[in-house]
Amino acid sequence: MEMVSKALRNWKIHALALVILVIAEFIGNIAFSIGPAKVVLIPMLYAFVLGALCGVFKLVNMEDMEQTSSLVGVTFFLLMARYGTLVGPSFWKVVHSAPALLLQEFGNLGTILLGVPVAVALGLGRATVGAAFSIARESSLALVGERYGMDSPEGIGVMGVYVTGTLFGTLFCGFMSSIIASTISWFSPEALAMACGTGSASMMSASLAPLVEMFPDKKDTITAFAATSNMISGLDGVYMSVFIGLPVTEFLCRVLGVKKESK
Amino acid sequence: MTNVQMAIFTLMCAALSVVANLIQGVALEPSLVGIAVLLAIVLGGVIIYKLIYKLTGWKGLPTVAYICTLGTIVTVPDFLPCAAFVGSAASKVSFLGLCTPILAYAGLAVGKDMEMFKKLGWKIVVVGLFVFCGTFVGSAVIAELVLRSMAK
Repeated sequence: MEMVSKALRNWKIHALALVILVIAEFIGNIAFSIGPAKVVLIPMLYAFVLGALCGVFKLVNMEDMEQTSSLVGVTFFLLMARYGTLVGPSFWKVVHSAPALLLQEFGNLGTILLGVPVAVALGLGRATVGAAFSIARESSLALVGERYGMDSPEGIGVMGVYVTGTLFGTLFCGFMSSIIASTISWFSPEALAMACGTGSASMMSASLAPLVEMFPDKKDTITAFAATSNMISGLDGVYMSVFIGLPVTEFLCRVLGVKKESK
Repeated sequence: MTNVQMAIFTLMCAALSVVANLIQGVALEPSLVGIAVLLAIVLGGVIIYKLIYKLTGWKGLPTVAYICTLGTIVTVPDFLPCAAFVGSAASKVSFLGLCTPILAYAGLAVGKDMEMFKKLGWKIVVVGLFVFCGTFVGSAVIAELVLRSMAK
């Protein structure tokens, strides 16, 4: 509470946030093509980069950063309200596609199928478990912290992917969804929209934006699907990880020969 | 965080989002009405969270889950009398404009994780990117297959 109180009074970070926001919004959307892929850049990406640059150029010091960090949770409140209002109007359409929405939650286990082999090949050892069992947002950190301790190799793995997600997640998700949507036409916009929902609102928004640019006539449906999928992933994420994610990752690591460290 | 602190900061974020909305070309009045509606939903969600905790001691779902669910309930067509008004008012507030403040603050805070990140090195970044791909492609494939089987 001390930290939050200081954070609210720290006019510098709020002034910076305002300036960053104004610059980012004035830049606006930039769409361009790289070969067959269409890439869309959005203000929230510039905002993040500009914010990070403030740190690099020492406009904010460590104390400022810690204070800002204490506020971050609340920044999501208004966005979540807005997402609710996006899903509501398309509610009946969403219910109709419920089977697809619910089943694609299991697709979040794709993190394991892709992540574990790569991590093991790169020699990450036990960190693989923390790194690949899910997309590593706050709830994943809590899980790993409780089960293995944050100082363990598993803890380092999950922190690594968490920071990667924080630093590059939004940028990467935007690129990834643009490229996949424009090069693999087997995927319908609806399926891609559902895939955008991983449990992280910012990653979801970043991967959704290019889809909305590419399929403006389906804007409401795909936004509703993405938001609902994100809500569901947020809710089932912990259970998925505990009952399926972690066990499967552990199993796959064992099969691929990763040894548990003896303490 | 105390309730007052939460309220103050939420209002600050609301102000930032209105600025973003204005830059995107939306007029002042619809922006203000829209953000007021969203603030009401946030207030409702927080109240529900605190009530459930007070009545049952259960802190299971995060506050944002209640906010989002309340936002959905009040906009389902023909379900509640306010649905059409709320839906229309909220639609004037750009959702990307609501994201910009979030990432501005997140960017400002991210520097403190840099040290740890440099220690972990490039390998974890590669794994991380594959992990994000994995969840996206995995979900897209299943969704596509199910949608196609439902269409038959």
